[in-house]
Amino acid sequence: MRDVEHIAMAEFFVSQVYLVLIPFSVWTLYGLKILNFNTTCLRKPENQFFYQLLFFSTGSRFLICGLIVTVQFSPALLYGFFLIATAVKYNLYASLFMIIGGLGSLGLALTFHFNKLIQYPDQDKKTSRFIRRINQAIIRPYPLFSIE
Amino acid sequence: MLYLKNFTKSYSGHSVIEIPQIEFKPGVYWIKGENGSGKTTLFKSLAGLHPCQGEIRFDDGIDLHDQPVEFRRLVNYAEAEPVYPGFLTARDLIHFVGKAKNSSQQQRDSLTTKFGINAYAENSCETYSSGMLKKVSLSLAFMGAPRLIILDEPLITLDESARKVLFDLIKSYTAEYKAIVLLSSHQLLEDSSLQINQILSIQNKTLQPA
Repeated sequence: MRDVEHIAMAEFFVSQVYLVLIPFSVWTLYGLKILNFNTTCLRKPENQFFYQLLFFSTGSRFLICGLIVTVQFSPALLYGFFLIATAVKYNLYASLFMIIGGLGSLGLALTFHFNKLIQYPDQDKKTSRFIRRINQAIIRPYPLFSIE
Repeated sequence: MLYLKNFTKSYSGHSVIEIPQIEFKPGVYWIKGENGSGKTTLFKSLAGLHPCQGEIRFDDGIDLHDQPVEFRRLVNYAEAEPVYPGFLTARDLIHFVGKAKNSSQQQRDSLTTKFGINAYAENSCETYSSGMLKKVSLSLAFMGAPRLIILDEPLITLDESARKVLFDLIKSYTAEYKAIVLLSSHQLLEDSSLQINQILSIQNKTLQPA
């Protein structure tokens, strides 16, 4: 898309409060992706040492978790700032507060979730019934190894 | 002292290990068991890394389920085959874990010197051999003032001099901090200079005297 088209789309998103829900739903999906990524990452054996973060003071722990989430969520935040600037340009304060509230709550939810992962580690490795069935049924052909 | 009562670890409702009751006094306990018998599962449960059921508490009342942070602060765990992110150095790990465990700079320096980590502490973990990783992992297991040190197969890939350092550290921590050391090993420990409180074995999904 060209610059003008980006600007036009941002103006469309902030023109009505309910239209802010479009980028918000995309950010939520992205947030879920981050949530899943963090859960998977912390279960990896090489990241087990990171559970020691639990013993840092609550303030430091939340600061570190917040920084990690901010970096991960930065694409959404940058686009959010762009929408905020557009909303400010046209004095659309309802949309502005909606964007700030949405991004803020998503960021906080991700931070609390990351902190919860540290507090309640679950390194159990389970093979689902479905995967077990597949493993019983087939012996994977060699070329499939690399694809998997 | 560490008490376990009605300890159960299960996967999807299928019990893996059940311990009705056991007490661990300060000292060394050698946990034996066949491959897959549940030693690592037990260790990770006691370290708070695996969810489990039952009462697990120290004699002053600190319970794994009621006070997970306080409990886990007192527990140090070293894995059988330690792995760390390749881009980190031993110095990064020691600094991070040392800070988390309130370890003094003197203690950190002493541990790295004893295990001979200083020679490669600035290199990335991806360049380490399994023995070098093991030394880093063991030095992290002695950070702070742990009351329970869990060493899963501490002797594998370890050279003779590092073994001696490890046994000396175990002796000093059990004497100074009244620490409980649970260790599993397929190598014989009877010949070592370690004084072992009890040899336990995981058989029939429970922990019993060997």
